[in-house]
Amino acid sequence: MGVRKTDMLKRGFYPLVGLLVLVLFLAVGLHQLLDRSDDNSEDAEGLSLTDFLSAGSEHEKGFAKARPDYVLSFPGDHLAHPAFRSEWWYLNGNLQHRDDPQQRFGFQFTIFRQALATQEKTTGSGWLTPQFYMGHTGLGVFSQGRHLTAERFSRQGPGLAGTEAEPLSVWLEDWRLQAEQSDDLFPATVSAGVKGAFSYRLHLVPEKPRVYQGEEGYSPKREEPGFASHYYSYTRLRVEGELKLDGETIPVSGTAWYDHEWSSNILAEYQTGWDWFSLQLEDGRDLVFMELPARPGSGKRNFRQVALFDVTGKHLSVDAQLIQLEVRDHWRSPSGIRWPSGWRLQIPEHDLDLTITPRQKNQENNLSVRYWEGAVKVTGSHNGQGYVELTGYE
Amino acid sequence: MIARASFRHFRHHPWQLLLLLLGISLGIAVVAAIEITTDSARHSFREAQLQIYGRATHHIQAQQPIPEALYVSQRREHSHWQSAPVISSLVKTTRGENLLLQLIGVDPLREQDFRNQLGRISGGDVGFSDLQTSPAAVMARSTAAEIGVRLHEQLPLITANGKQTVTLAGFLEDDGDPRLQQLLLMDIGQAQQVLGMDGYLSHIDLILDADEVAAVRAWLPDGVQLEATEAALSERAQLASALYFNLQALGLLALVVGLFLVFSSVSFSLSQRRPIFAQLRTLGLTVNELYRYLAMELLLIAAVGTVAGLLMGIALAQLLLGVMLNTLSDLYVASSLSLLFLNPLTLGKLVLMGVGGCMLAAWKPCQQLAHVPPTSLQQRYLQERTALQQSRLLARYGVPGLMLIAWVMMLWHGSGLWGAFAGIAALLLAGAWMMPMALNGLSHLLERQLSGTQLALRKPVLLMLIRDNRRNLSRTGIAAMALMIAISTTVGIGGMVSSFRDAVQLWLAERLNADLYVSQTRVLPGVRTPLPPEFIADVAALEGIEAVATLRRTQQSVGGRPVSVYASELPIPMRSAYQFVSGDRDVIWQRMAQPDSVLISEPLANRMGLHAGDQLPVPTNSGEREFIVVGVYYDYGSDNGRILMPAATFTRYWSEPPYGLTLYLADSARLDDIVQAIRERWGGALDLSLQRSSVLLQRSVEVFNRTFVITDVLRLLALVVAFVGILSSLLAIQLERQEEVSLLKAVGLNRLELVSLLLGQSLLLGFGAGVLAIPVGELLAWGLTHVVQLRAFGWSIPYQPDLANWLTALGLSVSAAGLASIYPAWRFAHQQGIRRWE
Repeated sequence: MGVRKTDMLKRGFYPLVGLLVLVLFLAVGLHQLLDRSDDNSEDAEGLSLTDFLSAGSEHEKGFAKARPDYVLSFPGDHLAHPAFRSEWWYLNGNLQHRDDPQQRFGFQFTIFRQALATQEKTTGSGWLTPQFYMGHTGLGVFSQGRHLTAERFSRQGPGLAGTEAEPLSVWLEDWRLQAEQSDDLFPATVSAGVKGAFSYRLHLVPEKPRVYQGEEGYSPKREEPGFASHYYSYTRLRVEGELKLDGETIPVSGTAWYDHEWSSNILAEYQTGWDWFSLQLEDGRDLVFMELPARPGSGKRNFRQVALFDVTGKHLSVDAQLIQLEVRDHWRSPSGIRWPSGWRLQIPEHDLDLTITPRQKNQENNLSVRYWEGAVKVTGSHNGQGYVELTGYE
Repeated sequence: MIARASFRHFRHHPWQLLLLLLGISLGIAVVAAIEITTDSARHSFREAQLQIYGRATHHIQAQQPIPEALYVSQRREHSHWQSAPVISSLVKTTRGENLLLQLIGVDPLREQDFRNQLGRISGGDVGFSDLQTSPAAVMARSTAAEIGVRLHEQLPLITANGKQTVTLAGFLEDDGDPRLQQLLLMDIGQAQQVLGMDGYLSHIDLILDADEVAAVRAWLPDGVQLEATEAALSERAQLASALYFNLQALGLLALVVGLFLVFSSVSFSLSQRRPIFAQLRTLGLTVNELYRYLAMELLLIAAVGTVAGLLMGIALAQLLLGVMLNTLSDLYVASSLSLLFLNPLTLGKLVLMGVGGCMLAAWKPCQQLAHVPPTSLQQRYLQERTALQQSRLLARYGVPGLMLIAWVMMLWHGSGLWGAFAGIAALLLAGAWMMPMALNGLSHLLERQLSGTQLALRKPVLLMLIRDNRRNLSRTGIAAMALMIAISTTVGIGGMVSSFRDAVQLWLAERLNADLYVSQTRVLPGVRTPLPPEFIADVAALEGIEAVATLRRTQQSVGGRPVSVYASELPIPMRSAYQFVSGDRDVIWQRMAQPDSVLISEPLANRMGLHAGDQLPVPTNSGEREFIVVGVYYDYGSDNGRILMPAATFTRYWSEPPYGLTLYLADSARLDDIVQAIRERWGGALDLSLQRSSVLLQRSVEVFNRTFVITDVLRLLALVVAFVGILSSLLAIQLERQEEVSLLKAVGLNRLELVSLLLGQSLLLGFGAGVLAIPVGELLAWGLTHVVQLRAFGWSIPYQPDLANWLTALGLSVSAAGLASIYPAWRFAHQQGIRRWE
């Protein structure tokens, strides 16, 4: 009898504990039901970004167009052109440790401006200005095989982003390119980064004068007339400054390249993106070459643009159609895109046969817009260095 | 077999099981209802606040809207501090039933880290540029349906900036989530325009880590504060803390009563089964086996009772929450959502309370049962003797010990609020332990008075009644304890509430001593429209006015809590409105003439440990300043405290314009003329609210009384529970007297004698419990008003015993006991024949 009793006690005990656990579960479940947690935050970003980047694609009307007769004037044209839909201020550069030239770095700094609507009337509130700014920066640390990137957004707002004449500057929050003198953008200082991750502050001094792309700064982007941007560059800037990386301050020096371009229509329906090369050769010449591939089956030709500047910044004539570009290598990024990664560029007109090799394959900017933007080494008939930008790959 | 025996026992005595369950579940139900209601109310406020603060850990704010330039420079200089600008304001729609909405203006680009409401937008293909380019807003789909606004339709609003119109550009998919239903979401730029806040922000949200907090503080200019969101949220929750506190106290007391009910039910059910257990023990059941069995049986009963109680509590909370939130909206500006919130932690706590409390309450009776030798288990007289011995021991050593603890805890201020509660618990327990001996004593006393008298000889049943009462102490003593506790808590809380009411009404009557109060009519809660200076000058110049005082107010964080700083010219007639805790009135008012002198309210003085002559640092527009406290005045308006200063001092440090005027007339009889004159001259230009002090007083008292509605409801509820519980346990005891009654009948007692015996015993018990409940209840009330209120809120309340409470206590106690005996008496009296021992 005693055995039976204890058995029963044992048998009775666990269901009881089970009951209590069940009650607690029910209570928790009920609570969960009533208090549905709202972790569906992933859309919040979607709303703003897709909206920004697609805004106005169907209503280009009302925005200003690049005109061949427009004469660029400075310092005014360093500033934003809000009547145009898109605009960017762009810097890239090959850097090295000041005390150890074997430690190489590459940096890219871009501030984009996008008009969400034509700005007809000036409203009192800066918040209502329909201008959106996006900043991207990349830093290649080639001795460690790292590629660091960062991104920023802001509306123009009451001074959150924009350009101003005094002092001559373009900024997005605390990312900033600022002139040191009032009459021209360079010499200037650029600073950007993410606190705790990486940042840089670089002093930029022009080694060559400002040059104009296309025809005096009017740079066509398609075969059809009327589709162009205003575009000028500083192809060679001496860099002195410092990087902050992993809590360490690294003194660097090197050479940079600056572009400023604005337009209201860059890509045609049949154009998917571009491959863009900016190369600085050791003989003092600088080359920019851009190819906008046409979608297969669109019946259109790839569109090309090229400009070669001599040591003094003089524009040397090149026939874009005589240039040969051959992809030598590819690299599949972790995000799954197969990027061209190594080229042979031939310009027989000027005896150039260049082998262009990325300083490292991984220089993909995997940001809200994905593209490859990386420092390259130039060998072959001439030595040099530069930057390559690839967009439109999927 | 033992289980089968118990099962059979409960089948034969189903009401016993029922009463046991009822005791547990009723006790838990009240506690659960209070806990869940307060939880839900807090949660609702929190959720409403979270709509504004989102995931921000901190926010930057000032007394007034902050210039947006501050935000811009933060982004430009320290963009690594995650931040987002916010405009927030209450607005009213004129569609529907004047629904209050929370208008929030945000920068969608900076939102993803802070709030996720934007992810729920749908309808109308609303995008960033739509929100930016026109005064468009999105609101919850269900709210839009409720007030009948369709997409792209105009939505008229009453705002702090007057009447405005926005267009409904999209919906928030609220899916019935009440947290979204009050929102009106706009782009920050458009919100600024609609609210007339061009260039300003309501606050800046931040997500900061510990290191950044100090850096942000150092960076901020004067007059702007960085506050932790948690602190802000709990600050808002503290707004209602006085009310929560009252409820919490009620809940705690209800639990004590409930546990006593459990204790008495368990004791009784066990004592009933003594013979069975005794038999089992003689058959060879070990103590341990009996123990385990009893523990399991109890666990099962406790679990079932607790769950039932929880369910009842949840249902009750649903009802209470509405009342509660109405009360809170009356009192406080913050709008709230009605959302029943079942916090798993609270539920777990309640289950633990129910089951654990039961086990604890049953531990003693079980232990007694298990340890008594089997033979004596069957002997009733032994039971009684031990019970009496024990209660004597308790009364002799336990009660003085407990009283000492209560005394120390209540008088030693350092023991804090929990010390005060511990003291109160000790007091109640001491009262309970005294109960059996008090009954015993009462019986002795009555016996001595009666024995030998004519009455006793003629009616022997009287003496029998008294002696029998004493004999039954082991059974009835516990029920009497429970009854006493229930009654004394009623007396105690009743005493506290009525003292508090009296104090506040007296205070209001004193404070509202002017003839007329003038302000602009408030359309939106919390928005005080300033009075134009020319209006003030004009009114002051009216004939027949003896004195005019303007009212200004700002809120500053003092000692970590928001403190209202009031300012006025403080003319002579106004001064009688302030009663000081200590010091000479004339001297205090003289000192007020000196620069930077202030008066502070008693709660602030108590909280900060300040006395007259001390310095009090207060943040001002030009940084922190030290003010000199010249006096401490009684005030029940805010447990956070208040500061009063001359208008001249105020205007030196803050910029808030006057929002109100108080008028003192040379001849109060001319009040109507003055009101008429003001209306004629300014009625067209300003939407004025002219309130006579009598009307204002009446309204204030009304609002105040409304806050006690819920307290009263709950007190009633606790009382009902106690009443039902006592009734049921007494009923059970009486019904169990079958054998005894049979014997009495056999001895020859007639029906009337039987009834008077049973009823008389009960009444005696009720009377005894009621009498003891009065001093215990009064002590409790004293403790609650003088000790607990002071420690919780910092204000002292003169305690006034209320005779009506005494009568209630006696009446309740006697009638509960009486009612419990009517049915058994009736039943026994009508039983035919004599039932024999079974």
